[in-house]
Formats: sequence, structure tokens, C-alpha cells
Amino acid sequence: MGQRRSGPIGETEAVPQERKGDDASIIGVGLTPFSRDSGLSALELQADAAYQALDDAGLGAPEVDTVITGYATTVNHIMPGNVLAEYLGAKPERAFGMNVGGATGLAMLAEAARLVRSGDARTVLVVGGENRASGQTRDAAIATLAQVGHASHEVALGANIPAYYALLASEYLHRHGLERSELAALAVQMRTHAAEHPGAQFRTPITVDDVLAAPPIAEPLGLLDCCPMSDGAAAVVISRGDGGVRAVTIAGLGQANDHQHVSEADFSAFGAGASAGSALAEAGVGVEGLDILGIYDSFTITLALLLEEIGIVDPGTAGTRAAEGLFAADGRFPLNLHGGLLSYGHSGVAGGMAHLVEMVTQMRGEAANRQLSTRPRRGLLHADGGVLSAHVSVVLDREPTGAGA
Amino acid sequence: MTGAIPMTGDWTTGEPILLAQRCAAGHRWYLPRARCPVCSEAVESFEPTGAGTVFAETSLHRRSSGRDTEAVGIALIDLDDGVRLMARCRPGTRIGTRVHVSIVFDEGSQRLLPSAEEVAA
Ligand SMILES: [Zn+2]
Repeated sequence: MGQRRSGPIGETEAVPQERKGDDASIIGVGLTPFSRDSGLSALELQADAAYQALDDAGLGAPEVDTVITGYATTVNHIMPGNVLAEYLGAKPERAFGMNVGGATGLAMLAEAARLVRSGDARTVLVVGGENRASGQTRDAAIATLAQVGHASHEVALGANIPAYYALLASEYLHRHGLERSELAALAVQMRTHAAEHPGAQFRTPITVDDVLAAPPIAEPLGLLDCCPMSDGAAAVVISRGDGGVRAVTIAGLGQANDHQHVSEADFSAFGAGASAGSALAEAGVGVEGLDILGIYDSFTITLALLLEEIGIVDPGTAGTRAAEGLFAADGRFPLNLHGGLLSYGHSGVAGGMAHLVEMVTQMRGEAANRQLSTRPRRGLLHADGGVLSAHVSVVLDREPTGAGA
Repeated sequence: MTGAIPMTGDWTTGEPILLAQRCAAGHRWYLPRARCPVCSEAVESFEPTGAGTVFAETSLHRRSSGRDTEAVGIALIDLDDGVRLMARCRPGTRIGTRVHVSIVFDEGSQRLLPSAEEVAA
């Protein structure tokens, strides 16, 4: 991982010499449809995605030497990696779980890449999935997720995840002198994308007026500013960079963890800019060199703040730029082409991994009716966990590191 | 010296008192620690005056078991004493409003909570 940097993200830079020859690549992906009720347990969902990713990579479970599994709120098992590894018959050298909220999927990908680059692992299976919507009551899910807040000094006030993000949204709109209607364009764009994906939970097109008329959840956020809770799972297989023409290179990694609770967050820099800056620097690419984006969108405000702090758009303009079509399939920065958390759905760890699967699929040219007219070469993924607390950024490149533009 | 300083004696443990923390080097914060998160110096608790300004605010509509309950206001308040805290407030309180934070008994949750009341600027 490159050193953390501050300041604007610059021009495309020389590829770091030390990165050549030890690329970690994504050689298999799997993604289930997201829905209100899959009829499956968390483990069954995880296995469904894992089998898809292994089949896609042309591997059997015993060929995996490392299994990394994200937490499931409906299971709360202390050994999620081992449980899945046994189910699959993988018998891996390493198996472990990870818990960094919505950033877990990309954080697992980052650890997998590091294990493969160092030579400690040959083939890593990364999986997230749960029956978040059907496996518990809505109140139980909200109460579990609220625990990213401070137990005695925040949660005790009755606050929950939408409230934490609504606090960010209120400050954002006030600082930039904006109305909540400007954030709505981001929700509309995600729904437009989701309409093209058969696995998306919500595919009926919506308008800005629909977003504004939806019931208030935590003002200024309404129901359609918020992602749903879903059943679903996603998986990827990572190996040394000799995976053939369908392999996608993990070209850059960055992370930042500057606070946990919104009460102690630095509203001028949550960590996304530092995280993405590191990933872009390691990949030797600037924002202008990106062809596709996969950015975490748990709420419309999440997407706006991340796009702006990363430097894709100027502060206060994410909604306006969305309305102009910047993030459309034919826009300059196609974003979350599967529909994102807001419309494909949010199944915890798997929610943040769906962006990853979609980007790999687009880079391979296998996205069928959603395929971009020009197959994207480089893309930036970014996810956050908590209240913009844990940040992970990943640059993907469909060419090996060091290949010409 | 090692060992956590017990944070007894404030609203979180049922006493009608608001506490924040500071270290000998002058750092101040709200979420309790055994040592200063900036310089690891020893900690002392202090009672802020409660005077402050609304930094962020939301009116939260809680739907318990499908039942729409009355909205509650939740705000981040920047206290004049140099710490930011979360408090209840009147729903719709505007950012920048001058407030006084005190500890009041909340009927809904049947417990003491910090609450921000608007004051004349
Ligand atoms: Zn200190």
C-alpha cells in the first residue's frame, strides 16, 4: 500500500516499480440476486456465491488455501471463515472472518491481495452474504446496526444508522446551501442502473419527485435516500497474476480509519480522500485515468460525500453532476452499474461486494445488456463502514500492472 | 498509573450531570477514555457550562414494529467548552442555533438524556 497522501489527486504517475511481477488478480466472481426473502440461510447464501466464483475461476474448493468470510448479523458466529470452509470442503491453510462494517468486502479483498502478493497464499476465496432481510425482524436489524454508534453516549439517545447519516446530510446541505432535492438525483441514477440488472431488488424507475415524496426516515433523508435491507451474497477468488485474459489486476490499495463515532468525526476529511489517494498512487493513475466507478452508496449522502472527498467531483456538486448524467452508462464516470446499495440492495458485507463483481464483469466485457460501449480498463472501488468510519479503496485494472495505456 | 477511570456520576449512570474530559496538556473530548486520545496524558472529568451551537441536526422518525411514532430531534452540539456531543433537541432546530444543553428526564425512554434548549442569541 502506498503512503497516505493529502491534497488533490494528481496526474497519472509512473507505475511503482515494486508492484511489477507480483500482481494479485481476481480470477472468479459470484453474485446472487438480492431480495427481501431468499428462502436461504446466511451460510447457504454464502455458499451459493462461493460456488459461482469457484466455477467461474475453474477451481474446486480444495484448491483454495485461504478462506476469508465477512460477518453476518443474522448469525453472529465467532468463526465465519471456518464454518464456510468446512461446508465447501476447502480445508484451507488459513480461514478467518472480518468485521469492518460496510467496508468489510473490500477490506477482505485488500488482505487477500496482500497475502497473494507476498507469496504467503496462492488462491484466496473471499465471501460475504447473509439473510439480512428475512432472517430477523426489521427492528432487530436496525438495533444491531445502530451499535456502530457509541453505546452510552449516542445509541442511548435513540439514534440509529439513518440518524447518523442524516446528521452528515444536514451539515452537508447547510454548508453548501443546497436542498435535499439535489441529493435525490443520485437515488434516481442508481434506480436507472438497477432497471437493467435482473438480480436487483428494486427495478421500477423513480423520479426526483418520488424521492422527495417518500416518507421521511431521518430528515433530511427520506425512504428512497436510504438503501433497503436485503438477502444476498457475493464472492471473489484472488490468485497470482497468471489467470488468463479474464483476470482483472488489483492494481492499488488504500485504507483509512480516522474515527468510529460521528461525534468524533472530522467533517472536513472523513478519510476517503486519503484512502483513495493511496490506492490511486499505488496504481499509478489519477482520477482522470478512471473509466468506471464502484462507490459505496448506503444513503444518497454517503455517495455524495465519498465522490466529493475522493475528488471525482467538486464539493457540493455530486447531485447536480448526477442530474447532468455524469454517472450514467454513457457518462464520463459510469457509477455502480448494477444499481448500487440503493437499488440492487444491501445485504451487509455482500452489498459492498456487488460493486466489485459488477466492475470485474464490465472489465471482462461480460455485462450483457449493461455492457459499457467501451470496455473499461481502470476503475476505482471505495467502501465505508460505520459512519464514514472505516475506508477501503481498490483500483482495478484489466491489464497487468505496468502494461501500457 | 494504569487502569480505567470509572465514568460514574454522570447522566449515563443515572446522575443529572453532564461530564466531559480533558488532560493536563489542554486537550478536551467527550466520549470517555482512561487516557487522553491525543497525548495519552492522565484524564480529569469536568462539567461543561452547557452553552453551545447546533452543528448538525436530524428529525428522526422511528417506526417501532410498523407504528409511526412522533419524530425526535437529535443534534450534534459544539459546546463553548470545546467538545462536541450528541443531544436531543426540538425537531427542526436549525444549524447555527445557540442552545443550552442540560440533563433532563426523557419520558419516552424513561431515562436521563442530554437535551439542547434554544436560547436567545
Ligand atoms: Zn492530551
